Amino acid sequence: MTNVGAGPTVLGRGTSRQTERGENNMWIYEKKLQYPVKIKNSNPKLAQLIISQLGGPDGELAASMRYLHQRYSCPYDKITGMLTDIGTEELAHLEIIAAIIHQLTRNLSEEQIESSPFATYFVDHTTGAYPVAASGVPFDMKYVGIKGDILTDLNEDLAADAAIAKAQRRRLKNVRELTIQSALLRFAIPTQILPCRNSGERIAKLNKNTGKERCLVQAKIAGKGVGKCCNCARQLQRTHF
Amino acid sequence: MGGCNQESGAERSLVRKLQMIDFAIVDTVLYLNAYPHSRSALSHYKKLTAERAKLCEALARASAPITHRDELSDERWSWTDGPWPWDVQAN
Repeated sequence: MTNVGAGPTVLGRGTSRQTERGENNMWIYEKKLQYPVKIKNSNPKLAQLIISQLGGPDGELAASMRYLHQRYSCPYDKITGMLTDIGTEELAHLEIIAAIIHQLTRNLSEEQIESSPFATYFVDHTTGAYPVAASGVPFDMKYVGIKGDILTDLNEDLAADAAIAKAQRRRLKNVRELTIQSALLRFAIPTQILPCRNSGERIAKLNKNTGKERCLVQAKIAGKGVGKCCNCARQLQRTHF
Repeated sequence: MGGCNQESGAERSLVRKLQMIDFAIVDTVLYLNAYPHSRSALSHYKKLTAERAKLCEALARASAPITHRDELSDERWSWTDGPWPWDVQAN
């Protein structure tokens, strides 16, 4: 804001190398999946189960929105960084799941659709990748907790990622039965466990906060001009201070 | 060549290497976020990003830029060429 009219803006000068070092505060699409998806045989029944990982309560869309939108009220820069990086990675997972759905529903025959639980999905979305839970409930932000209180939010992340890892283990069993790419889900589980460990470590550090840290947070909240910071003063005292 | 529907084996193997390096980078970043003074993690990170830059350049030279900002050609825009990452042929 202070630099308006003071020369060329940073936009457009970025290169991918700058992006790697995090010098561009924005997102840019990279034309690759985070992990390859190569499914030989279509399988609408499995697609109908896996779709929950896209738009279900423990899905990747919920995960990404959870992390990315918890950042704004976070008074700790380092935790904001963690939330940014994990929330971004969840978007990459979202694309992997959509690719799985896309490939599982390629070249379907009419009988294949009619004889599978995928039929009801097909009525509304054909083979589009619509973020929806396996039960048929479309993606909803009610799955996501964003409370403006970092310790509360990190506990939400811990619970959510544990739920995702558990759901993926369940799905891994299905996938084994149906003999498709189980290496893919074996890749997916650790990607949820690492964020769990990150959130856990951050919570432990926050719990150990001393008086010195307390002043820092108070100053940051004042600096942001938030005043009350959030509606729940009692909770604020318990967690931030 | 760009514009054809089947990604060549050479491009696929470049992308595969990039996927592996990027996953290593993602994990190293999460580690560094928590332990910013780890010299060994920092040097590991630099090694990985240098390797990544080389791979991105090689992909751009093969008319398969990983972002549109990597486009090299003065003659033809290859960014929108298929296959896209979710296609079976790209994996």
